[in-house]
Amino acid sequence: MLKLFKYELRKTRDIKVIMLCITAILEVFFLIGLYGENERVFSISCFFLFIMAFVATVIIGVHSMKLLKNDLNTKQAYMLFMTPNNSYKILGAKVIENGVSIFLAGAFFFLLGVLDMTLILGKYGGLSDLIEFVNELLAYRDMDMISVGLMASYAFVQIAHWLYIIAVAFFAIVLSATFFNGKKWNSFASLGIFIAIVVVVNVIINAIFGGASVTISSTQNLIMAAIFLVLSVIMYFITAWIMDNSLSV
Amino acid sequence: MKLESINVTKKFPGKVAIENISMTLEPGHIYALLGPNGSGKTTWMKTVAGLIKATSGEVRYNDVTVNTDSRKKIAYMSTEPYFYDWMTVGDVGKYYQDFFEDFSMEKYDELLAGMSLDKKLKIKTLSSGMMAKLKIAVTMGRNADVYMLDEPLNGIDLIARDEVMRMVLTSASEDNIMIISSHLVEELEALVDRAIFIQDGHFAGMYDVEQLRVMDSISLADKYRAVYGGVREA
Repeated sequence: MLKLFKYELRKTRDIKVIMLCITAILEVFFLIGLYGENERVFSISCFFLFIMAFVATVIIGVHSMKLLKNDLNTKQAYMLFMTPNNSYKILGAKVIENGVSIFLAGAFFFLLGVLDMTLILGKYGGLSDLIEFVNELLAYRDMDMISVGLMASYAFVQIAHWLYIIAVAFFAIVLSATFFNGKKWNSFASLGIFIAIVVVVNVIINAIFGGASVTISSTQNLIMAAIFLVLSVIMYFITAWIMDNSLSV
Repeated sequence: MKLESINVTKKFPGKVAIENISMTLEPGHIYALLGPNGSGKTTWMKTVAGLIKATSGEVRYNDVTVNTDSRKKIAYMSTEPYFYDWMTVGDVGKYYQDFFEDFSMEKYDELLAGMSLDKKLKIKTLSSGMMAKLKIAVTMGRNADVYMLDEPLNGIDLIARDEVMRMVLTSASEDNIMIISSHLVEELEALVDRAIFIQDGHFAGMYDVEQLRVMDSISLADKYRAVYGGVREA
């Protein structure tokens, strides 16, 4: 599976390089704004860096869905399905590549955020007063203090949730490629299946286990993350089983 | 070693692509898989390669239903190009080397040289003729038990066709099965020793080409005309 994983990484290389270049440009503007004391450049670059952290993880996920769709619905499918690898390995390599990429992207932007915050705090000590104020406000409202642990658990649940979303998307794409291959409404079928599963499952999970939030406890967030990870694994096995038994490319 | 197709049927919504195709193929032969467009040749080949799941029936390779493992010994070359756009000709070889134990980079290099293909060429810059040469080179770069070449002579010039023919003859041995589908029946005639006819998704006969010539005094091309064109046999 390592070789499949290597090629999955190669397939997503270009989009990652593009996002890294955009982030690097924004970071340069951030530093110019910060140390050149140009408030306008500083605030705009901060805003876009913040947005980029979310957009990057979304793009990685969406790009992987597009790749899977191509790998099932175009002749490129032969590159995967002619090889002596079963569907569990083929799909597994895709899921792992996606999980690793999203986790690394999350970690990268988290560390970049910490670095930039440190630079800001070094220049404008006043920001620490702002964080203290937010903590006091949350304590007054009987909520957990915003700690690194709580923020990390919330980030973790978001990554797990996104991984689950991608697992559902993979399932929907494989299902429509298997049973509606060649139909004009194939893509709409994928989308419909995807939305239906995500909405129904989310409603059920939130009703039973409660949601996840940066203002709830770390334990609750970790429970939610575990649920999403288990669901992702279940979706993976169902999807690979369908591919192995029914998919024709 | 043998390859058996047992009542293989593949149905697509609104269409039966192949129906009850049964035959046994043995090593040491080069088979021509013949039939007009849409007769089911490609569907049958893809079923053997494990790319298509049969609706009913089964393909058995060495008495075992074809599965992921049998892809290690069954090499399939599709009509359409299927390589990733970002690859170079060299990358395609590395990809095959990564996934197929029977792939020989040395043989691949020799075949590329014979076809005048540079390893640095990018896939997206290849002409259809160059792509056809690459497909055949990478497939024949394997030391497989079963080779299935779907329309290998399409889109290539006369010199390259001769090279393809040479490659097929070089790779054919008493230990492997070679199956070639093509519309160019007359060109295949010099290459193959057995011919399988597929008509409207059904098996329409398997013939020994030499026997057709000597015993029945009919060429493969004339037999083709007789089967599909309704021309009376000589």
